[in-house]
Amino acid sequence: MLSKKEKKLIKEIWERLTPVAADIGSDALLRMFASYPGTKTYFSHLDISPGSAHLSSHGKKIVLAIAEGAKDISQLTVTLAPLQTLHAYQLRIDPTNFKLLSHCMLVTLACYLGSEFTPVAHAAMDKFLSAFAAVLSEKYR
Amino acid sequence: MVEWTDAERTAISTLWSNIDVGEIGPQALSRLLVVFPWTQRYFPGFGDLSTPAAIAANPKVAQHGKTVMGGLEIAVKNMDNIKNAYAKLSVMHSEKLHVDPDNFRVLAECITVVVAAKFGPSVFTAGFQEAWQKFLAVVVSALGRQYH
Repeated sequence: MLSKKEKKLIKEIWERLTPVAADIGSDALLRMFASYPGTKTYFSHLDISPGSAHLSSHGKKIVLAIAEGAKDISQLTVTLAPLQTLHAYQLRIDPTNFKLLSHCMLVTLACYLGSEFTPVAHAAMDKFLSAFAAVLSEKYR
Repeated sequence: MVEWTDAERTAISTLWSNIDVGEIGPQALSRLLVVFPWTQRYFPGFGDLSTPAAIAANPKVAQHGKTVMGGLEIAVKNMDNIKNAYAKLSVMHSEKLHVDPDNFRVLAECITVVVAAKFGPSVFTAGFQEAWQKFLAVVVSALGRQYH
């Protein structure tokens, strides 16, 4: 359950990171590919080497979607409806992988925000990303 | 036996030599107790854990954080034999402390986040993270090994 305070904190963090969405997104993706090589299997059609244009634009896409969801967390199912369909019927990414990316996103946030990524912020963000992933996989079955 | 590349060994020793157990340990344990509050069940005698501020200021949490983080030294010094080096600790966590071994994985996550926050993206690179997480995964596995 996310409190009002937590929702506000999450919204603020993603608002601040929106201008650097490509950096944040590609950093998280690179971490995921390095620690969990199985995740690379979903990107055989892209160049995901460090610094590649594909990595940057894909990372940006993901972070902007998360930031959009963070604007009004109570409307997550509505906001994510098109992405739900995309992931369920086209991408069909095994939902276990959402956990892996969420973890790497938390590490990226810790790296960039340092001591500002307090335990309270971490808890809120972990809950939000779990909820986001759960909504994203709602149409799978 | 776990195989370590030279790059992984370098990453782990670089990170470890710059980690202050007295600083990182308390931060990691307080983060665990805040982010995963059900872990508080293992610390009934620790006093006030009612708020994140209370947890951060709690001296027992700080002391225990140091102890736990200090335990990682055993792994750093015995990288080619972590399983055996942790056998006694594993038995203790199972028979005496009755800790659900999933908690080791969750604490490892908290340690990683604290280390990332301390070192930032240019030191805690994707490659360093991979080595560090692999190292912690081996420790986590060793700690759960003697459960039956």
